[in-house]
Amino acid sequence: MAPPSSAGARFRQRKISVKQTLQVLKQSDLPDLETEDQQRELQQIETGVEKGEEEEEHLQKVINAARAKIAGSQVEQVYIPTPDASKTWPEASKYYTGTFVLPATYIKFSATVEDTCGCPYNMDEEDEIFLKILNSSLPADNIKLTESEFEIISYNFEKVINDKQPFLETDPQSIFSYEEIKSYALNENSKADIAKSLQNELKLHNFKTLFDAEPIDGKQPRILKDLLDKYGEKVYKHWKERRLARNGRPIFPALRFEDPNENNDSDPYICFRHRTIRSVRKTRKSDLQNSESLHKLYIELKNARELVYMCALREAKRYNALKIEKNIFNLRSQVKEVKRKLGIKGEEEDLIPHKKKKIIPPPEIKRDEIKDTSKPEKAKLGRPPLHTSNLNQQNQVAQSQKTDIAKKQLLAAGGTIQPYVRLPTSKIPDMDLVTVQAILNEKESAIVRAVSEKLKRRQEQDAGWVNITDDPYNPFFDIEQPYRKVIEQSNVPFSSITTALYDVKAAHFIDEELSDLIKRKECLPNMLAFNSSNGDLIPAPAPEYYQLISDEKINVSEPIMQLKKRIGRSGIMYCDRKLKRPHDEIDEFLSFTDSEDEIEPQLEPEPEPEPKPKQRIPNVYDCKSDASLRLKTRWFFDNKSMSSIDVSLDPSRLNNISSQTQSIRFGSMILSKSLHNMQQQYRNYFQALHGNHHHNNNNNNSNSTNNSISNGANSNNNNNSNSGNIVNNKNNVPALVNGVKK
Amino acid sequence: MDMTTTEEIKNEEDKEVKEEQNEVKEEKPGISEEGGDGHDGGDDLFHVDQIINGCKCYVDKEGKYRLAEILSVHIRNSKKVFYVHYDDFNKRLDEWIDASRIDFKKPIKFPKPKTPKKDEKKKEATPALTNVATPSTISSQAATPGASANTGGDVMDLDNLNVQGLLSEGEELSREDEIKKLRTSGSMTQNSHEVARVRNLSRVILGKHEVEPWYFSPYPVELTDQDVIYICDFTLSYFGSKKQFERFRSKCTLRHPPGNEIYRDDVVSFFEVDGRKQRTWCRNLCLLSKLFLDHKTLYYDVDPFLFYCMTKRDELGHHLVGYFSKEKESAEGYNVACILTLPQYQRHGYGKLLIQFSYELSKKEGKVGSPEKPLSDLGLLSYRAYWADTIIIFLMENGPETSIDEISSKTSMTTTDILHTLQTLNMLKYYKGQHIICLTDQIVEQYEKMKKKKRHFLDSEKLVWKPPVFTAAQLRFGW
Repeated sequence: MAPPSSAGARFRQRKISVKQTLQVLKQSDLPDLETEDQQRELQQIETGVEKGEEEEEHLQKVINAARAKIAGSQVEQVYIPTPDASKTWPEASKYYTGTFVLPATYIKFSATVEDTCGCPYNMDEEDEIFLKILNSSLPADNIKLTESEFEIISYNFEKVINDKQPFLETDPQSIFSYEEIKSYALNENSKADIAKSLQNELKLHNFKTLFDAEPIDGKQPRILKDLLDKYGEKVYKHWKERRLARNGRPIFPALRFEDPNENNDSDPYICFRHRTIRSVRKTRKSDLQNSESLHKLYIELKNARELVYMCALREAKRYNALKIEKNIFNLRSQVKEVKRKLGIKGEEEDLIPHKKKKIIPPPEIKRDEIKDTSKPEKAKLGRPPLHTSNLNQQNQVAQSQKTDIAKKQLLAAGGTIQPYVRLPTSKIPDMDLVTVQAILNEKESAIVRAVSEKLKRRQEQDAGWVNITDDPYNPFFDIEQPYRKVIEQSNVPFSSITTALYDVKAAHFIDEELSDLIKRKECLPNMLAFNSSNGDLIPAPAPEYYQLISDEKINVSEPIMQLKKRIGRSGIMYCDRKLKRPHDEIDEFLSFTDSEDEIEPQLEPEPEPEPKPKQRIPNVYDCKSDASLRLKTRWFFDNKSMSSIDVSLDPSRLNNISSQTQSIRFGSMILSKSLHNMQQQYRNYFQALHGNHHHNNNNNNSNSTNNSISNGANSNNNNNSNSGNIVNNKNNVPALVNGVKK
Repeated sequence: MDMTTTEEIKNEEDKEVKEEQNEVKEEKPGISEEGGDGHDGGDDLFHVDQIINGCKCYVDKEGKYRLAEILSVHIRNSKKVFYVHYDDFNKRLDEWIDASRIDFKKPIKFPKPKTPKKDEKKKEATPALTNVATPSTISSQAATPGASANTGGDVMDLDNLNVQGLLSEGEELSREDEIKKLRTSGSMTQNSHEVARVRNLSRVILGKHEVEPWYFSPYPVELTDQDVIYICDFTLSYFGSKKQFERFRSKCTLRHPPGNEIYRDDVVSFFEVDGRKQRTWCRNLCLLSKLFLDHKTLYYDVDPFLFYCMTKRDELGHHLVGYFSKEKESAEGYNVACILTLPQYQRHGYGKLLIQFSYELSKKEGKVGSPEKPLSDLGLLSYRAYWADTIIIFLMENGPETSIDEISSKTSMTTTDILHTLQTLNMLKYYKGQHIICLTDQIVEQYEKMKKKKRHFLDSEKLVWKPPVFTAAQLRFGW
């Protein structure tokens, strides 16, 4: 808008960046500051005032004065003249009274003007004259109609018309008659006026809120119905006249809002129009949603209203209760007065408010019993004290009788005395008596079941596979330890788990000392067993010992094949097999396995391992000795760690159970497990023995198994015993290769 | 008649009247000879009965004859009275005069007859209208100075600081367009209706003060017959009847603006009142403030505004001293819509407190803001004073370097307002090929004076306020 060119523009950058750093310098520090275009500077500043007003004389004067001041000249302060506002109204103090108490915290306030201003009808001078005439015309003994009451009546008339005849001005003569207007005004179902409907519902006369002022004359206005009955008709006449004089419009002028039927954009008296936006056509779905949310809102609001209403009701009740209490108090004090006058003593409890007793409705079954128990009590209380030589004995008797009666009443009403109830024997509930034996049996069988189940499951998992791994699920019974180290027993933890740490080794690895003992069938040191007859701990009898595998070293062949597990594309697992032996060897092997396959049921304590007559080197895959060799080293190392654990021998320390119970538990557990295994293995052994007609190759070697599985080619008959690589409890089945799918 | 055209014609006429100022319209002296009202009709140029709405004549104002436009003619006590607007005076000085103050010896100018020009005007108006019909472009470049500073457009042309978001000459907003604009935002009007040019109330009693209204306000038309209007100090309810006022006061228990107090110090308190929740009170407030604000419009309802009301306490309660309204959501980055210190409290520094408060709120919001335009003359002066003080204090008390952006972020003032103020104060200088901010001797002097004065400043610590958040539904215009 400003003309862009002037003298300064040529050598001055007219643009400025808001991000640009500007130096702030004092004029006094800049003696060489050019001042030539200051004049220009002063002219072209927009003000933001509407153009027409910008030129106004007074504004210009002030702006010029300010400019001059900035330019350094002395000017006197100039003001824009405004109409007078300095006058005060002397009567103000008549209308503004009371004191405001400033709260310590910031005010939070949400009540509206309407909430805080009582009856919305405010009578004017005309009403005042009418009211005076009305009151003077009343008979002398009648109560005068107060201004507040007059306003209540008028307000109700106005409200009924505004609600029911909002377009009265189009036909003023259709105005309701007094009877109509009265019936509407007294309509208690009208929810429009909250205060009124609450007043009706709560049966509270003069429902008041915090924001309602105290009436000036101190008198509460009467109920609308009374007012209408007494003065309604006269007030109606006056009111109707006024309303008709206004052509049916409200008596007191209100703001004019828009009339949707008229174009009244230009009427300056119409104000506060709604900022409506043209509503877009809505789809049905959103209509539905809207109506749903409205419905929800309605319910929620209704609930909230209900809640508040109930609270109000409660408070109303409480208010009544307080009133009654006050009344009682007053009566009591009167009684006191009377008693004092008449000199009556005693019966003081009438004057003391009784403590409220909580009334608990008793369960119905007990009612009879309560009655029963109350009888002797009553009898006891009813009896006067025999040996009290009291002065006013009689009085006391009377009193005790009174309390007795009170009690009886209390009891009859289901009072608070809780009797001790003794159940007759017949009512003792039936229960199964459980013996310790039964529980133990159950436990034991559960253990057996669990173990056998596990074994079975394992077998199922292995179905179709030859399991020639080190058998992981057979317990082994090599017992050793822990007698070498002696530790203080009290420090040693005992648990069912640590008992399992009794080293159980393959029989042929038993150390010298122990094997000597065993061979001599002597008791092992520190080994305790449970006496089956009385459960005492006695030195354990020597275990049976079967030597099944010799320690003899055997030369074995190279592996005939190698297997490699690898994971291929998309996670498929492959088992690569690589054969590694010459052709003739296989033939030999095949024939060999047939003949060699045998089992030696070694029940003798000391089998004599005999060297194998054959001279040839046995194949690695059916050679158990190799496996046992590996096992031996393994156990050797494993034992190292296990032997260091010390175990308390006193099982009773576990869970504070008596040593006997503990013995029974563990004994039965261990025994049943081992027994079960033993049985299973025997069964398997005999099955294998009878099911397969392999002849027994006598003590050709110390292999205890019939495991002849070596490769897929020779898998027909022999492998039917895959479920039981026959193992007895003192041996482990060594593995040669991982299972190969048949 | 169509509003647009009349308004435009009106404006055009004003201009033309000015141009014709020297064209003396001679009247036959014969007619004026009959002129009564105590005038010696000897050399009168016109008669009192010839005076009609819209004509201009010279009127005695404080001992000087000034050209004045007759806006209304009434007969009071069987004498003619005239409502006059003095040229180059603010409308608040318009008044009712009787014929004795009219100078009949100076020529009278009559308004040009309208009919012949109508078509012509319409043709002329159309291009202007199309220009205006796309208000978004105008407002985006003109009225969002704060936004433009942030959106890369941080280079500002010092010659064309569009400070005010005003329309340039020729770009007159038609009434219809204005209403359309007001529907969505803003509270100002640039046009006013014929009727609304005449003040309709003569005396207002507000609390214990008796105040002369300045402008028209759409109180119920029936009240304009009353000599005096009683306005309740707390509810701002209005009564033409004293008895009614008395009855009302006896029942009223309100003692402060009906909202939450968000600021309190030893001198003043501030209340936040939501137009949507306190419709009656806010309407009353708007009606009252319209008495003193020319460009305020009450065309639309108060819903989209929050009202921040400054009060002074005494034993009766919190008395309203001034207020400003603020759009709940201002598309154009305004932080004040209307702002007013009630006349009885003016020239006590309350205006600056109000303005300071509006910027404190903007600081809390983390936004820059500017008042809605147009400003009134008094508004402009108050804002300029506040801006000047704020910038001077900032520059005097901070380091030797700054940028417009930095001042803006510290004060919440828009960069345009800052540049505008720096220019007004003649502080922006060109020195050795660079722009600098120069603290002139006058500025330093002004700063020292200000420090001595110990003016009351608001304490931002005492502002307990979170920017209110509204849902889309709460901001919707209708119900």
